[in-house]
Amino acid sequence: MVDHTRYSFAGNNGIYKEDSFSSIPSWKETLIIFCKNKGAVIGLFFVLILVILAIWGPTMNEYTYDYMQVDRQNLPPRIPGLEKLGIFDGTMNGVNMYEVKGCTEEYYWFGTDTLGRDLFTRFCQGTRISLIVAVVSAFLDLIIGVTYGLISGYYGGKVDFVMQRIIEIINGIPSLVVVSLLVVIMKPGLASIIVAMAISGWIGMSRLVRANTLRLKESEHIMASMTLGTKTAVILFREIFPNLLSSVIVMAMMSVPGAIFMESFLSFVGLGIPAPQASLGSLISDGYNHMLMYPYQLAIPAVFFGILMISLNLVGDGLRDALDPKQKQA
Amino acid sequence: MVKYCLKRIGMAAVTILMIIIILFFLLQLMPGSPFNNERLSEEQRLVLEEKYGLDKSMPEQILIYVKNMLTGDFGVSYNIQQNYPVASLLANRFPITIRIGIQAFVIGVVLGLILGIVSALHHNGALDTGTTIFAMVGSSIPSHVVALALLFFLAFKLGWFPLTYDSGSPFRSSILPTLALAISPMAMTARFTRNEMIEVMGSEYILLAQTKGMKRLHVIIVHGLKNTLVPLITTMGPMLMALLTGSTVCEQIFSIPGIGSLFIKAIQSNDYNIVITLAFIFSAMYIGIILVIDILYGIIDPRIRLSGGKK
Repeated sequence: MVDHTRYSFAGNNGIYKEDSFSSIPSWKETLIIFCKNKGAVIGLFFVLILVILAIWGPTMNEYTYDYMQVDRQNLPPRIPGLEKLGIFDGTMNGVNMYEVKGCTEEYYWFGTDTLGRDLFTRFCQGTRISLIVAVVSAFLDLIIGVTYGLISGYYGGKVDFVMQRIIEIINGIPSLVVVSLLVVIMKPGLASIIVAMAISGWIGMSRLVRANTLRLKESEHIMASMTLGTKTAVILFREIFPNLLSSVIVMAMMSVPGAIFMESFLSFVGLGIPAPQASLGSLISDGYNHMLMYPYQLAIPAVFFGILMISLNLVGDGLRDALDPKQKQA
Repeated sequence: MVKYCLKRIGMAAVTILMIIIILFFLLQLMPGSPFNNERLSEEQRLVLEEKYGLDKSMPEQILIYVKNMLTGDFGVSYNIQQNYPVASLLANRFPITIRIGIQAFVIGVVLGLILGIVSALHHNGALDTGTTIFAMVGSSIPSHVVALALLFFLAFKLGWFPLTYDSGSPFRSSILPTLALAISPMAMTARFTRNEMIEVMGSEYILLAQTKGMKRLHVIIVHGLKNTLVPLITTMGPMLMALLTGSTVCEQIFSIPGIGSLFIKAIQSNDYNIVITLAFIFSAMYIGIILVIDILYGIIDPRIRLSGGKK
């Protein structure tokens, strides 16, 4: 037995202090972590510029992306202001092509292509299409992958077994093959490219969701809901899904550059957006055909394409570190 | 171990079988058919259908198709070289693609490993920052953009390398495509190795090895590198996949007579037999590689074997 006379109550003087922390909303905390990552902020800056160009770029000058002017073919870039510095002054091999073609009052900022179309407008239009393809297919990936993963993980057992075997088979086919075959069958076009990429792209998402669902369904609040007889759909989308949201957002963000790459690959193969529409991939592919004669037609879209890919990856990495630090990079 | 291997092999076999069946149905869906020519009379059409076994029932056709694919009878080319068997068309092109692919993969992984280790050892130094930036840029920029840049500057402007593939000097012509393709595996390996190595070098058994007075190089290679390599194996699947997609476009850019450029040409000229065959070969290669990686991983890491699959 403890001899109580030997001990006295110490009280609360100075030993125990209540620390109170000011509560920062979690989105704000995420924002702070994200902003500390220099690369991610720079990436976001470039992405925003390209998004702005994609939205308003085509209306920034008087040309349209599909208007062909035969006597204005292959004009080099010429930008007002910069031309005085000796760059982007419309000269090619020392000759001012604008004077040769008799259109000194015109300014094609990124030059014109072999059909006399304004490359700046086409570039903005192409960025727009590429971004639409990427964002829509990432969104479709998200819907299919999340639903599939939730069901597979939640039901478990035989359902899970069959669903996982199906995934293993689909995953055995390289996405290069799936996407190009599907586009061949459906005829090249915006919709078929998006559908083809959605069909091949959701596997990773569903694996992530399934693994997390398996873990979450054992937790107390889900058990409680089950016991109370909550409908399965409600449990899946209202109780499990919100817990996965941050990893799902990161994963979707990470899949955007992949989709842009796949689109540019398809354009190169000749399965891309049909003319006269443009995408970043088709601009690079067109530029490649004339790269020896008119290098600017390739260089401009290729450089911006590279910048866009790097920026998107930087933003994705930054988001991952801010939202979902546990998810390690593969 | 044997059970694990058999299970993996069985799974791969089923996958290949399923892929052949899927490809069979895709072939039916392909737009246009050699038999819907209006000039063909009903009789001629029937004769043709009998010749190609199209009068048989669907399951029979599938069986024949699976048998043909597995025995290497891929049919004939429609457009690229009319009536020439696809298998012989591939025979000449296959080795070129494989050679360039292996060159790029080996160079990429080896250089990536070296870069990764060096930058992990100089953690937070200038070299580390440089490697991190390189890894970021290298794994973001698609190989065809790299290929175009190399082609323009090194081949066209400086004239160091031939502009198109020259079968007379296969080594010199393969340098640029190899470089273009090696960038992405190199960047991915460097990034992965660096992160993994930093973690391993910070662990207690490395500290123990160092306190026992082992030589630095010995600690790095025997204790550090060995434990870094194990997880690296899992990244090789996606890496090879990226290489496959990249090589298709790079072959087109450098006009290399490999199977990648043939794939593009076949798609553009609607030569479906070649498209389907190459789709099958790409899938089979990919499945084979994944199988090897899975088994390797099972040998190295017993935990994977017991849980019956990765993840």
